[in-house]
Amino acid sequence: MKKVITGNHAVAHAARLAKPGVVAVYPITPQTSVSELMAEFVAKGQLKARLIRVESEHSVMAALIGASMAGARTFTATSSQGLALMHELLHWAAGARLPIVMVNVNRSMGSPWTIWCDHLDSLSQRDTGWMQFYCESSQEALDTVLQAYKLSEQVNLPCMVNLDGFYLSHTVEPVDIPEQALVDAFLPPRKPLYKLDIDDPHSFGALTSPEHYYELRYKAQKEMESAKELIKQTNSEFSQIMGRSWLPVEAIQTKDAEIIIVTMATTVGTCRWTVKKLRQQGLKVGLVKLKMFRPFPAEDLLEAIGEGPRVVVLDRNLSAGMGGIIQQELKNIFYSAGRRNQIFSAIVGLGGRDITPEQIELVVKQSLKDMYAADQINWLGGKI
Amino acid sequence: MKRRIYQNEIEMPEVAISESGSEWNKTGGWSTVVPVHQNKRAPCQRDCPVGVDIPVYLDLIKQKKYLKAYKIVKETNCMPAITGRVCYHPCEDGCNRKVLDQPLAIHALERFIGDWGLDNVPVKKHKVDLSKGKIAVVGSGPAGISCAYHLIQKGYPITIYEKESKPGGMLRFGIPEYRLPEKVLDKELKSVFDLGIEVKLNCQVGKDVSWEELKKFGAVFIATGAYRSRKMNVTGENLEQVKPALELLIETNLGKKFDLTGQKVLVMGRGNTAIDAARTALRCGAEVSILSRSGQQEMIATQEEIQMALEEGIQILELVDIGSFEWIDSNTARVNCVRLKREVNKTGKVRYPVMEGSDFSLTANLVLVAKGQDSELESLPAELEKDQSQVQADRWGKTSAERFYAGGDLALSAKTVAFALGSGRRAALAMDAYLSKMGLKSGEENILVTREADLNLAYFMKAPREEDVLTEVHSRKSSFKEVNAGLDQEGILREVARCFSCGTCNSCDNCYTFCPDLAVFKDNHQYRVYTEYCKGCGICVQECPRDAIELALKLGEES
Repeated sequence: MKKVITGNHAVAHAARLAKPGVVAVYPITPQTSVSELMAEFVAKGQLKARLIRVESEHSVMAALIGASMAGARTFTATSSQGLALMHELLHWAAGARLPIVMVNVNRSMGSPWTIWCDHLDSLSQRDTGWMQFYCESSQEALDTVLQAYKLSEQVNLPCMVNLDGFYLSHTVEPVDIPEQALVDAFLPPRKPLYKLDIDDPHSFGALTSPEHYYELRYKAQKEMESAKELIKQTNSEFSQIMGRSWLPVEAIQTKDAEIIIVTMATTVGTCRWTVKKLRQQGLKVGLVKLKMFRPFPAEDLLEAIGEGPRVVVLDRNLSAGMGGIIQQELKNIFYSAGRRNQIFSAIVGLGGRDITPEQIELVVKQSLKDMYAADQINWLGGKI
Repeated sequence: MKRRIYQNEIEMPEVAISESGSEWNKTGGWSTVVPVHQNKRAPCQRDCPVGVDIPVYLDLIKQKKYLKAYKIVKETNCMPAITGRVCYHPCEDGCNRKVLDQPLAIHALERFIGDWGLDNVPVKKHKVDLSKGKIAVVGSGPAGISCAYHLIQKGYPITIYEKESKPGGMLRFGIPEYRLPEKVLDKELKSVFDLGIEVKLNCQVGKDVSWEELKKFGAVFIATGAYRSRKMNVTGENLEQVKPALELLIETNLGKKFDLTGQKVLVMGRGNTAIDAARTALRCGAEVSILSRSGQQEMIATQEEIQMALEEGIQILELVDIGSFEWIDSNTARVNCVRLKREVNKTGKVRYPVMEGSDFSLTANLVLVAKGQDSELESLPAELEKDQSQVQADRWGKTSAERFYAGGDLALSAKTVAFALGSGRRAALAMDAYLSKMGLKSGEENILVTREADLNLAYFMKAPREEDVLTEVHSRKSSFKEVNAGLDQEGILREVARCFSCGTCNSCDNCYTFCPDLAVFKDNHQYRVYTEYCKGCGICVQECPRDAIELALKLGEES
């Protein structure tokens, strides 16, 4: 059924349809309306889950770890500082191989205090061992939450589904909320790898000596690698049932492109429009949408971009002292693949500054004309 | 524990999980303390003169296990339908619930279960063992009945001697019908007597039967009450317009109808008898004022009774005493009064000295004096030690004379139904110990009382106290119908749900749920602790809403 709803409500509907047993919530802007709707679902009996209100995001994750270890499917949503507060438990959830699914509504990190969007909050959690997806639309966000459960429970790794704060979280658009029967057909109940059982008590995650820790990390890496293919299979099962498809990497008019924009989340939508406009001007511009950030879909990206074209990466984040994070990752895989494409880097939209078609047009043209060096940061849209 | 090193990642599990169970790891060795499930005494039970196990029976009402609840009450209190109506409920004063909102309305719950029992529980005659010593009980008031009730359950053959034509003592003669309907009284007394107690009415010991005769009994419990109204010792006290308040109550209860229409009645006193007499006179048509030596807040009568009297239109003149009475005519007396001051000395004791030059006078057609009652001691056996107003008896009712025990108003300075019931019960225990030559166990030593600070109030929500349903004021003024209708079924369940169950485990599962080591387990509906795994963290103690778990030092640990 199509409904005009916000991105936050779209992911809450997805979580309801996934039938988690435990939902832990702690409010933070711009995520709060996800938690509120989950509470409403539980209060109205539309979701038979234990909704736990806790005293911090750290406790949210602790509660979900416990619930997930007891075999429950779990859900929460957070943002920014809240996500940062969970940090040590994000490592724990991944190390314990718990398929927790969490929505993170992207919000810039303070200080200074801010509630608007950039991606540094979730990208800072890059190395915690969580899978990460970024969504362009509310429909994609809803569908991605459902896919995340299926993927997570196959590889036994947690997954973070990211939505751009306000651009997606609070903007209403028509979203198809699937019927429960369709979701049930796609997503079977969770079968936990291990489970807390009071009749067969074991210790989990106890002190592990150097003889064994290393291999446990190796196993997690193997699962991460397998997730790159599994997500495509999961997506194809999903699209057979729901008629919608969301690939980890989407290539748009890249075949003949001389320059390709690579970016994530709602900026992709702006780029789609700008690419169309630049094509009308005769510029051979393409676009690559990066949906999956962890595991990093190296093969898909290399294939989508190809050997020749210049690349311009729009990073809605800044790793101070190095630059844009996606740009670094991309250069990494290109180097490994022996490719010498020129990769330009632009930092965009920090702290919720709007990213406009004019800026995108500008950076494409500057990159094509070598108006700045590929190893230089282009402070696009900055008053610099 | 043998340690295993995996040779490669394929044989390793996906996560760090112990291969065998974790039960080998006896973490209990880490701790110096261990939780012990230990019920404490709730303040209500501590403060109950009868010693009723209030939190336990209230929890049973919560579960709608009324028969069990009734049985628990009846273990100590033989007349809950009566005490639920007339007891001044000291149990409510110390109720821990008052830290959150208001104390629990225990009296209403007691009345409910008492009425339920009378309607639903058949009385079976108790077997008596004639080889045990026979017991004589002198007086059929609450103390005597309580003593008889507890002794017949131990198999003693019992005879109660009552000088009046009906049993019940002060319950029947001192308490007005509108507080304790005769029907309830008769039912309740029948439920006790039907256990197999012989009651000889119209039989005054010392007159119809000699005290010598009673020495043939194994033991004798004397509870003849206190019926002699105290004098004021002021001039004019013997005028015919001045009468003891108790006399009006007794005669009204005996069925005499007084017509006091248009009469002006003054009641001197500040206890429940004063209020009872005032409200009785009001119902006979009089215009009534109470003269109290103290302020209203410091009156001895319960505040509920005072409020009801005020609602009905009775005036209370505070800080007033009577100096003398004067004859005006055969129907009228002048009452000369003084005003009193309230003074508190250094130790906090309140005194009421006369305010100089504050004399004033009132006129009245009838003055009812309620200054308390003493016992008639002259007719009692000479060997009983007595003081001016009562028989000397210890806590267990034991008097100075062999086999003679005493209780109720005859031996207590606190002259209430509840204290009388308690004294009868304790005497029964002592008499049983005396006759069976067994030691006397009080069972009351070293029991800790749950204080507010021992509770975890986070588990309790505010909920207003259910108020008794009272008859409309206008219809009360001329009727002796019961004023208080108690609570309805829903009110009872709402009210009982407010009970914290202080110190009494009611199987809420918090200790079981919260234990991080699964060291609390259930064994035949009782919680127990695996001491070999309990790390002594104390979470169970903290999370127990009602203080039913303690941390105890393990043996061999120094405090």
